[in-house]
Amino acid sequence: MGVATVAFTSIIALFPLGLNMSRESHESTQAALIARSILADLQDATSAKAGGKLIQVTGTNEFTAANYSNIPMSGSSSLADRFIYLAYDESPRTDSFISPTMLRPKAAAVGSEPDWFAKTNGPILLVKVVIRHSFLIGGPVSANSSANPQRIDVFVEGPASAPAAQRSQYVFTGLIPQT
Amino acid sequence: MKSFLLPPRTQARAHTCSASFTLIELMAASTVLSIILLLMVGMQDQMSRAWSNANRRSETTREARAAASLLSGNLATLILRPAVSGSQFSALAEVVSNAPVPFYYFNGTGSPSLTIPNYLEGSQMIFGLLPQKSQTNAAGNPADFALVGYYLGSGSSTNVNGFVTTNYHLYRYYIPPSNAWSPTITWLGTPGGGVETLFTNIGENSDILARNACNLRIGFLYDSGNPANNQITNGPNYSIPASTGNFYTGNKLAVELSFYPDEIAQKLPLDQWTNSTNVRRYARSFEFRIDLPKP
Repeated sequence: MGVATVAFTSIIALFPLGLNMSRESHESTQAALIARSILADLQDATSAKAGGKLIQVTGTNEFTAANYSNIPMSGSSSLADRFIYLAYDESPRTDSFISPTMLRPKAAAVGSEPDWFAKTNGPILLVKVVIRHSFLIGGPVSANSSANPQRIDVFVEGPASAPAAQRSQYVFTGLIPQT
Repeated sequence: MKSFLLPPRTQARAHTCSASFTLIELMAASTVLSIILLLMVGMQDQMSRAWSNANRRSETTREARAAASLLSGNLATLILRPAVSGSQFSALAEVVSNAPVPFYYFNGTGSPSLTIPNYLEGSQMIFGLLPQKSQTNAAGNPADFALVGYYLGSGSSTNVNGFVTTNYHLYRYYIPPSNAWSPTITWLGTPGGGVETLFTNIGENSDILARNACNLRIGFLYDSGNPANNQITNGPNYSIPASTGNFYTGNKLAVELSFYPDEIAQKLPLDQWTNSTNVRRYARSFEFRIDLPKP
């Protein structure tokens, strides 16, 4: 019985390892797709009519002011680092043909880190987007305010219900035109 | 033990020293063993369920990864061109330099004009020209583009148990640069001709890219405040114009994919694959957006 217990315990101990690998594989794929979408949104040189770039902040894709946040890309406000926080959850999406269940933003905040980013239970993945000026040059503010590349760092963390220090983090970096 | 062969004194000692469990002890040990075994079997059952769930998730993830990788790379770089008047390519024949270069889009409504024998009714598809490394064709001429397409269609495959099953898959149509010039010449030389002369023999030139796919949506995003922005139509298209609404003015593509795990795909009748409830309950769905070159 002792031998059987040891054998069973060893085998059972391997299960969490396999399960974790599978979860991580799924998470890393979703993280890559989210980062790809955010970078595509920010890359879109003519994104917002009023200037700036649009980032989706709700679970609906339709282009209306309620579903997107406009991130400034020119002028003096674009010289500071910009932070966007997003929480993604999985729900049936009725704006699609057969209403598949997909990950989309559930909550969003621009600027300082919101409380839900440190501790949350509802969403599945958390995303932090950092937009920074790259290759800043000397001279007046206007020299840097419209035509410089912007570095984008996308941090995707999961699972959202875990304490921040225990989440897996996937980091994606890209460079986009400013306007 | 043959104790009757021992001398009487030894026999008596052996009798007094023989240690054995009482019936109560044996029953208690059996009960403990049964409880432990029950717990372990329960754990094993839970673990195998979790394992099979995880397997389903990783299968669909693997298919999505393959599909997303090729789709995003290809669709972001399609070659297209409206009809050109007064072309600068004077060294080329006029028919080549002036003719439009299309991509073909079908949104699932009605019937596609391309002939695809195993096509999943109601699904979307896209076909186009793709820049590729130059290859020499049979006539010795170089060509640096390929013909590529994505669609959902049925196909038979052998599962891990050796059974042949028919499911729907995501197919990738591909004609390499060495062979792409011939249908392209036919297209360019037939003003007003149909795209079926460009994207030919689709069944023979397609391979499964991702298995057990039940949903492929390719949407050209636009500002819905201005209906005139919806310019991509069923059939050949020659440009992807930027949106002209009051809110969004870019041009992007959104791709949505859903896959069933193998276990579900084997049980689900083919006519139930695109059922909304089944897709929500059993399929894993993924979506991503692609920024398109500015017109």
